[in-house]
Amino acid sequence: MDRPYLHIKNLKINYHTYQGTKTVLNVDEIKIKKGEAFGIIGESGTGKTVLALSIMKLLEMPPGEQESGQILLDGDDLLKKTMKQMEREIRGKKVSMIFQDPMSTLNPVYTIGQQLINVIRETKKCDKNTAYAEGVDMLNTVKLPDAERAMDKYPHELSGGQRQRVIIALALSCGADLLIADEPTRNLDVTIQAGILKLIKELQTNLNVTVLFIANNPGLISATCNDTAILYKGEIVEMGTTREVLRNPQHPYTFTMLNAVPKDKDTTIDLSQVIPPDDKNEIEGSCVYYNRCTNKIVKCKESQKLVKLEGSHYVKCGVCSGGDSNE
Amino acid sequence: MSNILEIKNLKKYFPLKSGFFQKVTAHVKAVDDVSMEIKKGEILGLVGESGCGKTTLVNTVLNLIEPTAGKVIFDGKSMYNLSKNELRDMRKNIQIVFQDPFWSLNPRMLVKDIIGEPLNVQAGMSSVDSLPKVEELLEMVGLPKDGAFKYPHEFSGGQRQRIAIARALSLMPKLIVLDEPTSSIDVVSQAQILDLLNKLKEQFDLTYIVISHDLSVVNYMADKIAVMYLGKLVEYGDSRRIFKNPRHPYTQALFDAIPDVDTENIEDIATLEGNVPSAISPPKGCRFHTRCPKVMDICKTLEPELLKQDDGIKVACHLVNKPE
Repeated sequence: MDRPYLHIKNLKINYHTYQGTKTVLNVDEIKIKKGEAFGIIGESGTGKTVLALSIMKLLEMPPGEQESGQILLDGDDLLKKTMKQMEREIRGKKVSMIFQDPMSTLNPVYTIGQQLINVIRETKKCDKNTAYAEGVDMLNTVKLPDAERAMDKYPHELSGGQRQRVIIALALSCGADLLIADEPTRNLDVTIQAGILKLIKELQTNLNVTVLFIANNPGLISATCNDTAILYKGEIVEMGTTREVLRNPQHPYTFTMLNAVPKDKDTTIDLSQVIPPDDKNEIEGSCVYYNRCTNKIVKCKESQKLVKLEGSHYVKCGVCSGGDSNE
Repeated sequence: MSNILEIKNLKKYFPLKSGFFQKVTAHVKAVDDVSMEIKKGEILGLVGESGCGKTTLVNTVLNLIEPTAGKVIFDGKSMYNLSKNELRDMRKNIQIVFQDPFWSLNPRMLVKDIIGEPLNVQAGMSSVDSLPKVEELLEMVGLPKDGAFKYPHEFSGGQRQRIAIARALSLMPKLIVLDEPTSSIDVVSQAQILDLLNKLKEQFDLTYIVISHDLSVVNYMADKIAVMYLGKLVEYGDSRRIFKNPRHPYTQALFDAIPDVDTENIEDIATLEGNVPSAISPPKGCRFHTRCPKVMDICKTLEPELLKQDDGIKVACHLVNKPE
């Protein structure tokens, strides 16, 4: 029973552009056990969303191209499936996704009820009344107040937090047990954000839903996820249990990121270590963080591998994985 | 030090009209009797949930919309009842950086025209004259000079926000309003932008109003904070004191809702039940009583006043003010 529910192996996604081929995602391995929450942190443009979309097989190809790798969902390779199979068997039924912007994900010309009933009838092939009852049930599960009245409302009548709850209800209405949450609380207020985080955590523990949580702020991950990976330029630079990664960071990028979270007026953020990204002078085949790293050594000019430190803590760094800084 | 901006009993009610004759049936009290002052060189943080009137307050202060009642005095002069030319002169001194750099920059304009436009309009420079100034501004905000001949889409989110800051700086204003300056960028770029803003403030002796719902940003930047709920101030004063000891239950709830890196248990994050009530018919008594965890009987009938405490912080809450 130790088989991970979602297992991503050597996934490499390239984009063909006029400037040549660019690797946007190069993930060695991600294992998520059933019913656990896995967090992915990274700045914008690191490939977080590309990863999410390739699990759903929603990535546009071309310009995207999958060079190698497997995405195993419960032992089934998703990348080998045809579009039809994805539609019929996977999307909604096994894997669902919550997108970034709750304001534009719902269709503005249909009521919440119509959208929910459509989704439920499409997958479960039941009649309208059963679907309606299930829809109300779903809205209650996500703790939307006054569920029956909300069924007749249009998306614009709901607030941002309520809309995000409806989207989560839609995502889970067909029994998906892997939920991909792509920055679900972006553009929401802190008080609303707290509610959504709690809801996701609750669904994970009560309904045994596996969650892949994508965020650009480490604070969101710390309370919600069991395991965390730090993504930088499409590669995992550090991975482990959330506590290992956030309490005992090893990779210089993780350090920089944790230091960048503002604390209070008397603690200034030390930005002396932050070197702006420099894509032009990239050395072919070097460590992804080479240009911005402050404690690089000769070894860092070669590409690095994820190295196990202790427990389940992995890091991809020439210095941390036992290199000598005097080299 | 002198006050650069004084807001006195500012009110902005939006009328709601209905029926054939467009009769005014009710008012949305977006800003209701707000008073505050900002000293020169200070940073004021304006905090509250969306829909609490932060943006309306700022728009009214800048005379972008007309107030219902109240006074705003900027640099010794009233902001209202100005002629067109006087208002234009006044606007030179106040600039604004908007929330989303993806929307606030015109995608069809070159960066040199975006930053140069205020110079063309206000200082009467031609776009050829303004180019050296634009390049200087770009360097000031940490962007390469050759960026002047690029379009906004060629920059990342953090860089675009820098362009917006350069544009706001172009006329050397005295006051800059930052409306959620970092809400759509990641933590590392956010730290860099905040650092840049602090440096520019020292260099040019600026005053900022920072609007944000991210309290960690406000905590890092602001000298003074004002917490708003449904158009009213609920707590106002020195930011260090308020962060150390928030007294209004709403402020406490806001602070407890921030998840940070050290949070291990999701239950440690507080949530407020329910939504912000409608501003058309705000609850009687204390406006927060419908969601307040410490609600008492008096809160439902009597509206608390914003009263000064021993340490200079103003709080509007019956728990703190202990009415007789």
